[in-house]
Amino acid sequence: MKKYILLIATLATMLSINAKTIHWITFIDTTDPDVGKWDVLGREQLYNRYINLINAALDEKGYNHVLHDYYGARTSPENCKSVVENLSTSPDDLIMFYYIGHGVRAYNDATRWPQMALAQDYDSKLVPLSWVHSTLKNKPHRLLVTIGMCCNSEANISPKSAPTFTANYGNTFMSNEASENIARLFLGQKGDILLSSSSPKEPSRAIYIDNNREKAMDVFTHILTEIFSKIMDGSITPDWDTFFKYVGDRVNTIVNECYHENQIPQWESNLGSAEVPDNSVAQQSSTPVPTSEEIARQQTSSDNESTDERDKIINWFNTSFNLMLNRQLSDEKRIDFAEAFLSRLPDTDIQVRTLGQDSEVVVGRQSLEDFVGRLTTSRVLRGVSVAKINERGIFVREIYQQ
Amino acid sequence: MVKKILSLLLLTLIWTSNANAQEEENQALIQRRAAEMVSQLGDYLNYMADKGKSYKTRQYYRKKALNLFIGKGNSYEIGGRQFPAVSMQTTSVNTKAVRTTPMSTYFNNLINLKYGNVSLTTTEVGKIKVSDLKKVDNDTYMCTCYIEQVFKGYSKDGRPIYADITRKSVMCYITVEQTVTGPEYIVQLGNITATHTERL
Repeated sequence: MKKYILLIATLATMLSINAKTIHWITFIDTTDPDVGKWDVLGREQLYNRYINLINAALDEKGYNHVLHDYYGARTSPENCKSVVENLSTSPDDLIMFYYIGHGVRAYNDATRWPQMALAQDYDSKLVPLSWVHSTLKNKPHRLLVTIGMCCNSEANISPKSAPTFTANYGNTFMSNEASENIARLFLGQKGDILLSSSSPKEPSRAIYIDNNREKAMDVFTHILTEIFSKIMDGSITPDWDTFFKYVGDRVNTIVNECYHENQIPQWESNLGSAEVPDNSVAQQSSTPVPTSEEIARQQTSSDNESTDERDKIINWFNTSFNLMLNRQLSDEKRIDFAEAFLSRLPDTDIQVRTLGQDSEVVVGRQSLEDFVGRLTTSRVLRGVSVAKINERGIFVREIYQQ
Repeated sequence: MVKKILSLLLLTLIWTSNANAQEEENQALIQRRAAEMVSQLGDYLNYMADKGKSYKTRQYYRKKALNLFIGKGNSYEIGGRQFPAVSMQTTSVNTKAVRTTPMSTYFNNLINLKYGNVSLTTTEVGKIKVSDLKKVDNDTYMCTCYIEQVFKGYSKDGRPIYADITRKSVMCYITVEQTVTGPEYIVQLGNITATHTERL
């Protein structure tokens, strides 16, 4: 045991000295009786088609990723204020805030930005998107992107069908080119950018996917991930103004077609160019290590529950798994790290289930020991993200090298 | 009465169409998974053949590679029937003979090849073609992944000695397990057959 503790400490010392982190703060109202169901799909697509891919790409640039994944009962103004005010960052960090839920604006509001309801109805508790942005802007960062996907008016209209609008879920593979384009987008510019999914007095609309009335989500998030895939494949220049221009144009086109109204995303950017760093290894020790009791507790909890403990455990597993995948470490070091990791856990027979992309269907299952063995010896896996942990084990999604 | 019958018919049609759509979606997910696993195997083979990697680590990779297969390289059972350990077929343009070797032995042979160095590359994951699923037992399906493998052998001073390209079929078994949250599909690799080899 002492040998493994020494090994972990040595490994942490040998890794990049300055911890660099991409902080994801997502607040998604999945419980609202009107829009909650749509936002569940929005959250899935945001994580599967945007956040997980970005994390896999930036891992190669030495970035840890930390998720503050608020949904369900945890979506609240109090939690939003708390996490935004208490976020601790370093100058090289990236801060990404994303909200999906209801939003409103006051009639006499001089600003153009909405206020977020965050799963409650009291006016006095609304959180201005601009407050989130200005608070985060005061923290050290390399890049800050604040996005509010919500209405900027008070209208609530049910989704429409768009027979020509189909989902484009892409695939689970990511090429080196895609990874580099993501790095250029996130690391090739410094500064901050604030965006809301609609202009003043406009609602933000939802749409049925594939004409399926069981599958609706907000147009903005769907288009964001669709255009993001074009950033990855190089067909759109990886810079934020270009990215948002394409998103904005497409969102407005679709909403015009379906609702015969406008929804024009608006943004304000203060960005300068920056040099994309070379590949390096993320420092693993900055991620808080959960106790065995915390891990055991998570395994018996409902996987619908968003909690601080869940975030902590998932962040630790994500960081550990992705360190095992990191090809900048020698093959032998990856193996040693995996053995040290397994020695920390009381039960290596925990089942790890691999989910299909954009799906809750299980397409693979193995013990944690075998799963870790596969990660440690893989040169074709780019990234792994933990989707949930419950009494049935750890559920993951895998991104492969193209 | 006619209206009720028509409504019932319509509901049945909608339900059937949704069920079919879900089946098709699941098949696509499984096929993708099969391609991913074959791509992992291809990488393991490349690693095991690489004399630039340490012998001890290549043996470690050999053990992990066997986990991709049904039975993990040992004999296995499907529908109450016993099958021997999965095997790899190899060919050579020199001999035209087809050899079938248990996978674990094949991996050992690959690690111990007498060349100075070996490069073994396989079709990239996005280009692997996968057949439709076929039911082989109550809870077991099968599909086939089609790949091409390029083998190059070099002398100790780096001179190319032998090179060929072989088309292979990788059988994949899909075990369906019913759980409280729905079916789970466990994809594992099976026998690998060589269909065609030509010199490069």
